[in-house]
Amino acid sequence: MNERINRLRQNSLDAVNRLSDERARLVTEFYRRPETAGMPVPVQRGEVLKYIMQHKHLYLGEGELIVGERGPEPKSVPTYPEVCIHSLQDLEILDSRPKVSYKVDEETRRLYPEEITPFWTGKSVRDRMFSVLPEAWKEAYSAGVFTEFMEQRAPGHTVAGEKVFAKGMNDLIADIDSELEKLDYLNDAEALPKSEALKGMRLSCEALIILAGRYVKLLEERIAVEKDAARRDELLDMAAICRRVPANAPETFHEALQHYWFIHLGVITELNPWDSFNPGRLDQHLWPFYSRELKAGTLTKERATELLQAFWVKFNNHPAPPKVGVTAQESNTYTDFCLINVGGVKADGSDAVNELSYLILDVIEEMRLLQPSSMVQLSKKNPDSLIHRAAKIVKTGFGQPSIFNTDAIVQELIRQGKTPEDARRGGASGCVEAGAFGTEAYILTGYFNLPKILELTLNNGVDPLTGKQLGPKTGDASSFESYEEFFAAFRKMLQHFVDIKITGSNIIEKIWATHLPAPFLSAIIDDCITSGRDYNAGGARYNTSYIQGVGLGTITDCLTAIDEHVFKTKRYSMKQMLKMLDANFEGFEEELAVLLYETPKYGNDDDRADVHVKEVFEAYFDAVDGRKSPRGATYRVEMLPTTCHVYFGSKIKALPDGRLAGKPLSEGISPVQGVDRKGPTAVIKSAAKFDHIKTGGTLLNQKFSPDFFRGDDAITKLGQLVRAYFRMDGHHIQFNVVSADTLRKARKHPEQFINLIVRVAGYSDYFNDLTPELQEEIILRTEQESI
Amino acid sequence: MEGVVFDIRHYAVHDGPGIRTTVFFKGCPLRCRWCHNPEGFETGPVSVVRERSVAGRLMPITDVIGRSYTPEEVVEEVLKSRIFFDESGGGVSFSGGEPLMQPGFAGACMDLLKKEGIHIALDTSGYASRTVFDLIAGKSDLVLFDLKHYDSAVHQEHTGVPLEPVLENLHSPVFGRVGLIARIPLIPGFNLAPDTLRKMAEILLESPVVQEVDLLPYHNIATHKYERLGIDYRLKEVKVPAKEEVEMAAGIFREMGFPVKIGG
Repeated sequence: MNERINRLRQNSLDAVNRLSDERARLVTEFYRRPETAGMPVPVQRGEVLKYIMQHKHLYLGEGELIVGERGPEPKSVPTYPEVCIHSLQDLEILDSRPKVSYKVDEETRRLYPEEITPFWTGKSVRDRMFSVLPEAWKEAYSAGVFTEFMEQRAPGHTVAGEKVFAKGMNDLIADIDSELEKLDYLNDAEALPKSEALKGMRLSCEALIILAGRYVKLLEERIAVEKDAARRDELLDMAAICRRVPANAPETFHEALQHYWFIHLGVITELNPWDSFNPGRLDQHLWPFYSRELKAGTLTKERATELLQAFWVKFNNHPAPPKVGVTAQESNTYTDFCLINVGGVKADGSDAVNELSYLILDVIEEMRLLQPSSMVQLSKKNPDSLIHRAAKIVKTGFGQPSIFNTDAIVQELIRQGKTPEDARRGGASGCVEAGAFGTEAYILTGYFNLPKILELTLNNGVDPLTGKQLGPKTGDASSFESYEEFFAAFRKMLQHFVDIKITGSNIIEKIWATHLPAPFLSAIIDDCITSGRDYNAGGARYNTSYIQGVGLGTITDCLTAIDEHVFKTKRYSMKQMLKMLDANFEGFEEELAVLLYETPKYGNDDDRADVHVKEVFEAYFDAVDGRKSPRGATYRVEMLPTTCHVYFGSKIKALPDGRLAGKPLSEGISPVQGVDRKGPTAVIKSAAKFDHIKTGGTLLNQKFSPDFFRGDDAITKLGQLVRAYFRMDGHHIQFNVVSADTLRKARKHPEQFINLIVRVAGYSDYFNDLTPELQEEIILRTEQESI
Repeated sequence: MEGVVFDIRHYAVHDGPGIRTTVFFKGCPLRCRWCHNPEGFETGPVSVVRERSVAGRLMPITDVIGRSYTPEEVVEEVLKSRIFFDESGGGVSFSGGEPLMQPGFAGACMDLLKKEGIHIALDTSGYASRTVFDLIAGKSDLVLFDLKHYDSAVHQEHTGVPLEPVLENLHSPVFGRVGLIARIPLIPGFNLAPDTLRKMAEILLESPVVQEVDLLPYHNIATHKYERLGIDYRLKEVKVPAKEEVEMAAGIFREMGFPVKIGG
């Protein structure tokens, strides 16, 4: 990278994560104005975005090529009091907690209790939620049966489609106006709410034009005082670009990047959607601009690289909005899950890999930043050189890019009802979530603790942690005479809590649709404009709600242990088993050794265990898949944890697989940490035994020691390993290439490993930013040794 | 029919083309001082004591290395990796120990795998009767043939067996139809010297069908295995060859026209 990029990158790395009260102040100011109360809610939302864009501080960094920050400066993160209010105590925790902290200044600490909190109390979505959610939901939530994504952050989980790069704000406004004209108040009972939704969208598009206009002015002011001729020319170019985009569709490579970046800021300023926002298929979107300009001689490969690198820095400048409480525990990271997709297929199903795919991979390797996250979509139609190039970056050991199976993603999306073309325009976002980019609202509603359901079944609905009767009485476990009888009780318990989770999600979804629509996101995701409905209210072409299952490896091994030892060999009675669990295996060391070492385990291609992964996955799928939400979405399952397997584990006592009380659960669909003894092919075979096509994403983590990657031949074979997994419909695989020794050293001497990045679960993170539990867990995950 | 196997490892990526599954046969007529699979020496199962962690404490357990398999059981385990063979042009490798110590069993496994269309590699010391060698090597697609030294007396001293039968088998008529890769362990103080290596290369030149030479630099990661098995490890003081030494060795074989791979 050149000197400029090096400096921008370093500034981004050095910037301190801090909380900014600017947005909270502006939003509160706006809502305090008397005229605001009379506006329809979508119009309020459009106007408030305009108000923020008119008044926010504009940042323009030394040497920047792409402008715009969400906060007043890099890594300065706003809050969203209309979503969730931070108490003074929250602010203090954010400021002082040892991991993933955000500095909070005195002014914010004053402003919050004096102005922000009093105004929003009772009005924030979080307050509204907790005032109406049923008691059963709250109890299950506190017990760690599930988490709730929408209590501190907005629904989002979506990705830009082709339209974002093909249309400017003026084009969207024209589309909106034409829909407004078409409204039929005579026959359409929804005509009025539609007009309000559309007006909100129109206002939000205007907000973006205002932001760009203010940047033009700021750039002109800088030009007037800039002494360096070369920089002045750059600033002139940048001002010209901001005059054109995002009002108009971009025409050049540089314009396309700046255009997207303004839109990105619009989405993440409007609300704090999960997984921020995401340009998605970047090599596809930028290809027309790149190839055209390269041919015309107005762009060189070097300049394109520099612009992409400057673009990368922008993402790194934007840590996730601060999370507290359970939400912080389920997703404890600065990463905001913007996942750049490279490769895959075109809408017509043909190979999409182009020169830019490789150029972007070069950028990923050279920038080596936490954000954006990156992935390679690998279709059977893509050349081996793509996976080979990706594996070479994986080898450098910062956990990126992860590898996805395009053909599986397309099948998953088609199963859910997308057209083949819309499915092929999609990919994965966040950690591993499949989506139709540009046309789908696929909202993750929360994690679901599968092993907790087992624990409740073993205790006849009583939570052993509290002694409370949390679930239905599914029968005294020691009375079950067959495994089938036991599993039927588990199913009943599962259905009970899935119903509670969905009840809550249906309520929460309605609150968002009513009180906090997202007009700007709606304007850019099809078909919100033509349907006249907000993104949060089901306006997108496709609507999906996910519940993400956690602890698949753990629960599989628990079911196997019960099946083998209690019912098949009758080595232990259920009573004995329960006694051991209650004692956390103290005084039962020999029995524990049997459970740990003489019991079939998932991850070893052993059908005695793997039959249960299929069984429990199908049970979970049956409980969730196909249910409908009020906005018209369909509930589906995914199998991924972010960092929730650690939190969920803290809510469960000892389990029949030999896991001790409070310890983390297995992560993603990976085997329980350390029990896979037969190498990566066996893990892959086990993991492929349940049907990934019925999910919207699964997450498989493999850890290899660096010497495993020595030589071109080893890289080739790694590619073949991935190809084989994908032939079996595996959805995703990621690699941690760092030795357990290095990690142990890093834990001991964090100061020497400031830049050590590791793969966590669907994303990478600085090892030093992980909690001690998570650090230990990552060390424990099997290190696949070469022979 | 049954045979004794001490391990079946999947995703073996250094013993032949593609992703392979390696079957380790128990029992070996040789006692190479540098051997990194000493658990393969004896023909029968051996007990070792190892420690495993239970609730944070290390508990000693007795582990038996090696057990009897029928050829069908071996094949069933090997075929678990079939999709990886298909994807990578891999297959099964028979190693050990010395597979030729159990010719009937090895042959039966090979026949079954051949029927399944699986590529078979035989990793052997070459030390067996000519009849056994021709029969079993003849069932393989590729032989990874160890050559350790050129001098029979030195060979006898460091491996426990004479060199002549090995040299004779190197000229088996099956080669030509069956592929042949020579594998040379580079052991400091034993054969890691230019003259020695040159003479070994000359031996290989006499066989017109050696398609590649794999150099396997000595490593000492097996030390703990010797301790566990209670066998005296005589190479404790030997250092791992330096990169330059390995390059020197590779140069000698390349000069004489062999394609060389380091690490096999």
